[in-house]
Amino acid sequence: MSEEILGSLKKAILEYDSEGAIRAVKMAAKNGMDPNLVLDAMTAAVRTVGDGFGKGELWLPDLIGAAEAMQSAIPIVVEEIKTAKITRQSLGTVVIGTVQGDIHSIGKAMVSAFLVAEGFSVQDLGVDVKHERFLEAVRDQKADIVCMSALMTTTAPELRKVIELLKRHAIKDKIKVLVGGAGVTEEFARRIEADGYESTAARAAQLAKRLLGK
Amino acid sequence: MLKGFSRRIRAFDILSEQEIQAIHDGTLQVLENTGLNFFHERALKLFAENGCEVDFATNRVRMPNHLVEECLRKTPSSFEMKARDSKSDLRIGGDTLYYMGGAALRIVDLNTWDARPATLKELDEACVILDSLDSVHMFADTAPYTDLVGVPAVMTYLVDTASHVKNSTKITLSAGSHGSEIFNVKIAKAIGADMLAFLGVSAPLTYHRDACEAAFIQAEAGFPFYIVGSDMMGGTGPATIAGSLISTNAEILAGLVLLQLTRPGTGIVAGDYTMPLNMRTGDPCFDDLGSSLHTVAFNQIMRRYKIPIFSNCPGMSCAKTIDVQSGYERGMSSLAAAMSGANVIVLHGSVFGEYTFHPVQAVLDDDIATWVGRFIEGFEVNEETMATDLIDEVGPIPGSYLNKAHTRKWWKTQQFIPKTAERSTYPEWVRTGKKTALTYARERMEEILRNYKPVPLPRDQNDQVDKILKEAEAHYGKAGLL
Repeated sequence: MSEEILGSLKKAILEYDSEGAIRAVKMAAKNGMDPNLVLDAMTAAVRTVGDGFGKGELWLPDLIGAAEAMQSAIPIVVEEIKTAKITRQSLGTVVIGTVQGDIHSIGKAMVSAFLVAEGFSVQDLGVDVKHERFLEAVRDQKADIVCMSALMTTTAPELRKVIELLKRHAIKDKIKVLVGGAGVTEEFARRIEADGYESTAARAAQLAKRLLGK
Repeated sequence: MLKGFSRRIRAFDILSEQEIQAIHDGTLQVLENTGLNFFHERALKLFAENGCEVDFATNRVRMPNHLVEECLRKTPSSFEMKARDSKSDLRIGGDTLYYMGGAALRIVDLNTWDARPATLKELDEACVILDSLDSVHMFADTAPYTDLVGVPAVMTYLVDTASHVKNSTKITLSAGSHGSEIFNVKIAKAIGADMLAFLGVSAPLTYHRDACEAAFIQAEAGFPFYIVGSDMMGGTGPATIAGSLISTNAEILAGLVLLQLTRPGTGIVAGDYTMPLNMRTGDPCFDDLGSSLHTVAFNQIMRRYKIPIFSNCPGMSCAKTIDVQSGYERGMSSLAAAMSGANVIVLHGSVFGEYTFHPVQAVLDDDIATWVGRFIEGFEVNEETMATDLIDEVGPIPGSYLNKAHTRKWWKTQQFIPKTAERSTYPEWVRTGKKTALTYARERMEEILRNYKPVPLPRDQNDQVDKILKEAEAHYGKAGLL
């Protein structure tokens, strides 16, 4: 039975079917399955799509479709974890968003998808995210990493402002800050004291793992 | 049957109705008053028997208008061709666009850009690559190389043909020169496939003996024909596009009359290979603006006649290297040909005119050909593609279409994913070694040669083809041509 449920969950994600994923996750809960097993199954399915993307066989709509199907089912699993009073297994928690004044979402969505595929727990704050909102989310989620995107050279300076804010609240040293987007270069990232920069979403997720020593 | 590309956009017209009529009338006038020379006794007799005014002393044939009109009516608006594998069958005509691989003398070195004779291995490799490319549907006759190491000149066409049929299921054009057509007819029979016969005019207004002889032999073997007019404007044809349209058209229609009198109902695809003369060098001015204007008007006239259309110019560039010039010349001329209704376009692999060829160019042309083919297929406008409900659902920012099933269903049909274009992000481009389209094309060519296996010719047919080549060699040896 469990195998069957996990199979239909993976299938739903590989078919970018959010409703199917939610149905399968509810079924898993009803059957008292270990929520971490359910998470593992979803992560594996998204990773399959991420691998296909990396090989050039699958495309952005596939990647986002799979990640979204998983993300839509996650709240149910998280609820299960709380009820069962167990620990959520994850590589770490990432808070991600596009900085204030910048509404570009696609690069950030790609990074989110790859982080999910690697097994991170991802809190996506969306676009045009105020500096303080990053700070709040890092605190609330007890995040290990904050990822920020800036597509334009005019919004890249916002990255520095968020980093300054994190410093002022003595949080910067406790977490890792990753920056990216077309408005950012490796050199700029170093200058603003970010912990990392990558030029592709897939490598950004790998960098996140390395920074946490995973 | 190979699907090719289906033109769904309305064909581009460059001439008004009155202009077409004037060119048609001018053509009939040339055929009736000026006439053409046919250097072949049987052809002259055939024309005389069918009401043409024939001067046997000068070989001049003048054709009455009604005969030309009658032969136009006998020419089918499309015809089918059978390949050695039914998957490669063709239906030439209508709104279908196919591409034919290019032809040249020599292979060009990608590092020095020097031209040199190709080896037999390079010949086979080029044929394998052309076979592997989905946008190549046919092989040219004297192609890809006619200067082959260790092969006597008179044998090269047949050695080319043998390489086509052994390395590809795709249909090939049959050269008619020095009797090669006799052996092509045998090869076609041996492999159970049709070939498209080539009938070339010698401008101005002349059909030589060899061309006529090959036409009779191949028409009687049941081959459909590609008739090609190739005036050089200002040299072997009038310098004006309107004038050379009349001379080219007269040449094509005269060949058409010969074929319809020989075997009524013969399938014909009418080809335009007219281009300006390079007034500095005396060479053909490949892929010049004038050749595209000529092609577009020629195609419109053939659409009016309901005769399938062959555009020979696009694959020929004046560039000596694979560069910006070769890219824009090939792209623009093939788009002009396709938009005006071409059913076959010659494109893949020729680098400089008919002088040099390289399979890397063919790999690049695969992207040009598919881009152009997809362009003339247009796009669908219906309730689903207009997506008004979806636009309503997504709304303004932060709405996104990236996560929608509609996007997943449609996106690939609405854009083109080239195989050799550089499209990465700037940092990725730097990180991966600053590749260009040429680098990708070289990599793709090498990948094809490593992994692609064409459908082999059955052993017995392979042996028969080899036997026919030996027979040809003996024939040419006896004639002192080797």
